[in-house]
Amino acid sequence: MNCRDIATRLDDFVDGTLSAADRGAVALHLEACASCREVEAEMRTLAAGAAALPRSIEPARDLWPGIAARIQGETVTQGRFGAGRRHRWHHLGALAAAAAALVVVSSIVTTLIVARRDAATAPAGSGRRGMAAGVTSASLELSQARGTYEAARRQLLAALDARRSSLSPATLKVLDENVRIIDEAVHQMESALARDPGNQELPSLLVTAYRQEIDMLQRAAGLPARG
Amino acid sequence: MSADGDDERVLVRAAQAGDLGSFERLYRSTVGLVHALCLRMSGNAALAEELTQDAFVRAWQKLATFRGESAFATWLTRLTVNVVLSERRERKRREARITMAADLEPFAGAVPAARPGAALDLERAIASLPPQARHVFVLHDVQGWEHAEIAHHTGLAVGTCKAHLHRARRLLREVLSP
Repeated sequence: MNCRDIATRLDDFVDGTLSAADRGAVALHLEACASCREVEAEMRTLAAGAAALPRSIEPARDLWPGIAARIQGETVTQGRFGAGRRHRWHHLGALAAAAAALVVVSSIVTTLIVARRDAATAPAGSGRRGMAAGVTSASLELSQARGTYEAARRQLLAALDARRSSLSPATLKVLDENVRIIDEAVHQMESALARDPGNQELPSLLVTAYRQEIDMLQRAAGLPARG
Repeated sequence: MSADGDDERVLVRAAQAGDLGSFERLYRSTVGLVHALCLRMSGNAALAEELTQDAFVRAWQKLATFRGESAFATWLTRLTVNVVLSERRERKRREARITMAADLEPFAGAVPAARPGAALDLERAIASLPPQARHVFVLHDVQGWEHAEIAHHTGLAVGTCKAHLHRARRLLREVLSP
């Protein structure tokens, strides 16, 4: 076997899945070839490193409230119309609200994509030098997303308020609590960003929070009326 | 908190009967496993949170199909892989989703204490792999799955899985070698 033959068999050799005959031939080559031995050693180091990575990484925030809200939303839906089928957009009014929500969410997406495309196609050297002090591409992108988010949020909250009487108190309680939690998170992140305007991570976290709130309100707009 | 053995079986039965409190306890004991898998397979912290939520909502919907033939965490891991792969397929179709920059901060608190720099470098390198190579590497080398099982879940041929693993390992060695 030459080095090329070895390269095609080394993964299985390291994984211990190579046939006995090939295993012997690979081992023989490795004894005589320092460069293939080096590759083998790197592969074993990589495999050991990957196997030693932690199996569990807790999320940075508690995801349960969002999960519980979605499960309870599903339960309300299924209890009203029967298990196994989704009728979130059953009512014409809900369908309209959902469509409106999709339009504004798409608008956020478009804003971000256009901002990214513009940033990517901007001439070299036209980036930070052309911006005011403290303004980064991330914060510029965020300010563009924020305007669309606020308009979407107002529209969806108004739609939700208009049909509060048709939703069960339990559903409304979950929705209000989740709006409060996300609003609080947004407020905290915006405060943190005001203190640290150059932070590169906060803008993307804020956009995520915006999207989660829009997504939740979109779902709320589609919940069926109580029976 | 961990739910294992008899305790886990009791919680699963209660959750299957509709007890959300029991399902929350199962969530608390397994969310780290699910989130780690979503984080590594997506390479994106914000998306990983969404996928984690999706996985638990799906688990609640599918709970009746869990027969206790494997550990709850094993069943949940397979379900999570399907959620991540489905999302990836849908996203490729839509092509209009917000893509967040890779945020490796969530890895920072979870790396083994003995070699924090090396582990974080490896996490960062894994996140930068092409999607299919990343999926196969995470499932094979981190999760310890066999190629046949990866092929079953991804819809790829076993030979294609092996090619992705080979590519992933080569790219990682190139990135990580001094």
